[in-house]
Amino acid sequence: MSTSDCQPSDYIAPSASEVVSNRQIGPDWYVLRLREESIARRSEPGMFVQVLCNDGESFDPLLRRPFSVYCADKENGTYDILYTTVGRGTRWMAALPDPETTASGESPVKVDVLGPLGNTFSTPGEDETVYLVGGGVGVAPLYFLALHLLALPAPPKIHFCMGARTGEFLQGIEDFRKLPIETHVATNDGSEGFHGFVTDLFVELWKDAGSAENARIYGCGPQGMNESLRNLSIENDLACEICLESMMGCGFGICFGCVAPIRKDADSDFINRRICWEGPVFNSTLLCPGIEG
Amino acid sequence: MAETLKTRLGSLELKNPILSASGTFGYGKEVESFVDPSVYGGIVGKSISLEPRKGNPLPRTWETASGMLNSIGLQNPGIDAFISDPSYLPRMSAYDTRVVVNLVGDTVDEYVEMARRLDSESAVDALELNISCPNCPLGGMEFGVDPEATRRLVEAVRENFSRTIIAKLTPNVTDVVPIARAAEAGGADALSLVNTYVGMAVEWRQRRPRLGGITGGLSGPAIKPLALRLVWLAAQNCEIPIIGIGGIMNTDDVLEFIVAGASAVQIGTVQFIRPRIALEIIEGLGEALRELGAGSIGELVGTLETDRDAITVRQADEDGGEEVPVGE
Repeated sequence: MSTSDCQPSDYIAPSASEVVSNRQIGPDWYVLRLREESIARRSEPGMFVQVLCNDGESFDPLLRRPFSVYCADKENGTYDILYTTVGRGTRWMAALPDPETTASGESPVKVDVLGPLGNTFSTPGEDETVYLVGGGVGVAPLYFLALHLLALPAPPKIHFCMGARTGEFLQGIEDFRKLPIETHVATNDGSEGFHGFVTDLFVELWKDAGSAENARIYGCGPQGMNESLRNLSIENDLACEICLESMMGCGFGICFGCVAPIRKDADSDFINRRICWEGPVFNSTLLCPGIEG
Repeated sequence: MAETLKTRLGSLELKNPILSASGTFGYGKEVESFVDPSVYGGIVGKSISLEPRKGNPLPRTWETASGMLNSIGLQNPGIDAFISDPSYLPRMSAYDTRVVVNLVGDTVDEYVEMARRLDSESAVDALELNISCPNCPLGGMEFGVDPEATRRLVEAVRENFSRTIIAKLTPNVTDVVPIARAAEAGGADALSLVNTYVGMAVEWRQRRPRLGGITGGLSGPAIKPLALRLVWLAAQNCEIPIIGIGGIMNTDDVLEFIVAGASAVQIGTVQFIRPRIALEIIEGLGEALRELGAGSIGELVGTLETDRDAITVRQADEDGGEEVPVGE
């Protein structure tokens, strides 16, 4: 007899996701749309999928690559991944055909995907103003979250702040601009929008709004941005959740490769907890100064 | 049909020869969303030490060609929490499979203390002694590279644990045979090999190692040929059963280890990529037995046919390779 809690039909199995489109949206930025009903149905903002970046016959690249779900269309059974080409795995993905632009009649291309994995963001209170603060490709889970919040019976007011080194790295912003939310950009060199870090942009916006206590921050970006966000949310006693990114061995808690010092609750010590298994979304008060991961 | 997959490690019977390798399966709980741990012939938990360990600095993993380096550093909750916390041993004991507890210590006394305590835990079917972790200054490997230290350690645990003892050997030695024989002489019921090969990756622009621990253990299909050789040598030189480990990705790989002399195998890194692989392999083994008309896994163990014996080959390997006449 097994004591496993789930019935066989509930097991998460690697599944063949059909490539619907593979759209380049900037020099190194792509949106891959895949069709797989169970992944689309179960995905929530903050969750991620693990993509096998080979044809299944090869052992190289060996490990799956983790990507936040960018959005999911539960009715049509599709979900999107926002990715940039940074290594062998993402270059393999970029080379996948885009069925929307290639000749029809060819057999569908399938990708082996495991997921969705990880946890999700908490829902804001009705009177809270939401600030989505993202850096680089870290905006991916925030787009899904924006869609989710806008679909609530009483959607909150949403500000989206995106940071990049220069204006050239602001790919991905266009999808946000189509949403009924306030969109703001910051560049380190001032080539577009606010001149400075995206976290400083957030502080300006928040102060302009009267430093209201009912602000709620959701963040995802590089380590420095996450660290600033953690610190300013704690200094100003603002509700804040941060979605951490990491290289991962497995993505579901068995290899202990993607740990960071994180508290279980406000009273406990920092211990090495798994970003993939206990996260990737954490309350900022649980993260240690100088976030790793 | 399923009966044909049964295999034995000394007095311990497994319903099939597939075990999870230590450190690649947690303690079962995390895997439950993907596969029922009860399908395995046995599950080997992540290494347990006397005191909790927080593990190594980041980064802890780095992918290599058809492999991965890890420098996890034996992060674990310690023996007290392992025995009492419902997430660990109590949960493992509820699975319908053999429960193997992998132990790591800094001293013989630490191994003995843990073995003594686990002897009174009836849920524990076997101990696997990690004398081979490459990732800690005191990760057990100082035992596993010395035949005499290996024998003394296994002997001491043997006196304090009444059920199956498996010694997990490192491949990071000049010759695995004296270590294997020492573990057998010390009273081990079975040997498992190999643990990871110690290796390194470098980012030359930053002039930095890729791993926080600088060096790490290499696993995955890249090491399979290396592991097969050592499993074959150990099987040729020891009487006790061998558990083959190293880069197994599919049913064919399992059968290669079995033919080379393994009575069971552990699957590791593949589970990171294909968490339901055990089910596929178990089904595949059944099909292979039917195809061969074999009644059991045991009929295949160690059936490799070679033109020269292991002693000759081992000597030649040590001498820097044997000249094989053309046409042989």
